[in-house]
Amino acid sequence: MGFLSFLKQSPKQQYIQGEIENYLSLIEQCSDHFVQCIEDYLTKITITDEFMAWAHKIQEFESQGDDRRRDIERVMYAKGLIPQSRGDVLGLLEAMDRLPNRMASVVQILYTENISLPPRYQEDFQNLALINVEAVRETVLLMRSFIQALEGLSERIQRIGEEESSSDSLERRLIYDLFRTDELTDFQRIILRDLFLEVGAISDFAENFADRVGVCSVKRLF
Amino acid sequence: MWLITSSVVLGWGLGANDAANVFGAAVSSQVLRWGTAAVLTAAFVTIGAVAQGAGGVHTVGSVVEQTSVQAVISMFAAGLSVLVLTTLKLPVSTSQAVIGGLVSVGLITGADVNGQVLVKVVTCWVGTPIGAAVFAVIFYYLLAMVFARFEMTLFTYDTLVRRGLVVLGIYAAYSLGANNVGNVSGVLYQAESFDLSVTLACLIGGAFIAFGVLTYSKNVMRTVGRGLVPLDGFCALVVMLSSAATIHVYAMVGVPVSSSQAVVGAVIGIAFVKGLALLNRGMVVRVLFGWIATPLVAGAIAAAIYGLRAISPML
Repeated sequence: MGFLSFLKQSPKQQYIQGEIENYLSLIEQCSDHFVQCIEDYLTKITITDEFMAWAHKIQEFESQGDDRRRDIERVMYAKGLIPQSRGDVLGLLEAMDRLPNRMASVVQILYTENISLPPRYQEDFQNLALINVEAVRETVLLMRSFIQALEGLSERIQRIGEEESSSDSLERRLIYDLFRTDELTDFQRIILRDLFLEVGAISDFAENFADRVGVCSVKRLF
Repeated sequence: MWLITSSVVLGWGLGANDAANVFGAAVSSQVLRWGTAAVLTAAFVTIGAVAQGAGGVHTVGSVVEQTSVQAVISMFAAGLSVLVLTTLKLPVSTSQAVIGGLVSVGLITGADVNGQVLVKVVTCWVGTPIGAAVFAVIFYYLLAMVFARFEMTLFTYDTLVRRGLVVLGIYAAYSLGANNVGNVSGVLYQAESFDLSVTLACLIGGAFIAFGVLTYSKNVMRTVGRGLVPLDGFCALVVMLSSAATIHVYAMVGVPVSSSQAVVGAVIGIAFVKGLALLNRGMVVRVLFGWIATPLVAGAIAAAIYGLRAISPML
């Protein structure tokens, strides 16, 4: 009991841990709404009120995530963690923050550019979005594993790498087809290429995050 | 009076400079406020001095037989050399300055310098960084075994490092007091004019060091401590434990040594374990400077003061 109380977390550490969990929940909700948003878009192939409602929610989650991340940083710098842990958590949160940003960006491109996706790309686009969302969900689980224990980290890191590879190859196939079909104008090709690249960037950032976790976890192996 | 003043200066300088080796890592990583760290250091330095400082006091007091005036010159030269070298931002060891001053005055006056004690002291100086490096290797693997027994979440690791920095800081303060009080009190204890008991001499010496910690260690603790932090929390713990254990061992042997050189040795040990290129020319220069230049500078200053006194007996 004596030694266990020696290891008891400080109130600031407990607060930081709680806030990180809240931040991760926001990212999960953001992912769920992103899937709903894409499904709504692909069902109706136009920007509907429902789509805008989902998009608005995603923007809200992204903004709330930024606020929460800043709050965690503030508490960490107010003597919440030692510099090494602080540096690790800070770097990981900043890397993770790019994921909701990218999801929000995809949704924004869809409605600001009012993109009409040709039927031949709809199924692959949906798959591309789902693969990238899966990569985001894996990063959330990876962050939880990193915070709570180091078990299963390498499997999760590997899984994110696989998602990124799948996303890359699907993205390449889509872009390859874009520039060989006669159904599109050059203008449409460029617009769609940028959209596919933007969706694929989500798993690129997820992989970047996973690499960082790998580096940070090595420091806790003796 | 002059002897007391010299001891106060020496103890003050020692406390102000060496407190960084005790709680520097904890303060610069914001685990502890400077005020708390300074109070803990002052308290445990004094406890260590009283509990286990007698050996060092006897050793320093037995290097050479001196009159009160000669003792004042030795101590003043040691204090002045520490002050000058610190001002010039050169690595300095109080233990080596004190011995340099004592031996120099002893040689000039033709007093009988105790060769056996001197050899023991110099051997311990050389053994300090080497011993700390060996301890660092051993403690690295031992602590790694302990850490590996826990489910090492980010927060468990953080908590272990935070608590460890405080507990080991207290141990390091105790060791510093036990080891280095001989530098401050050895000559006082030997001086016939005071006729102090060894415990009282240790208490006075510990209080002088504590005075330095409480009044002037703030900036040094913050800046020097940062040098340890980039090692990562676990290695900083190993360095603290190794250097504290090393100077504690030499306290039991009864020879005051340099805590800074113990830290350098421990960092070298960590570098060896991790295969890192942490050992650079600056570190070697730092240790060699402490071994050779510090006693020489203190000896030269002592000789100069003694010479001036011969020319002008008013001094």
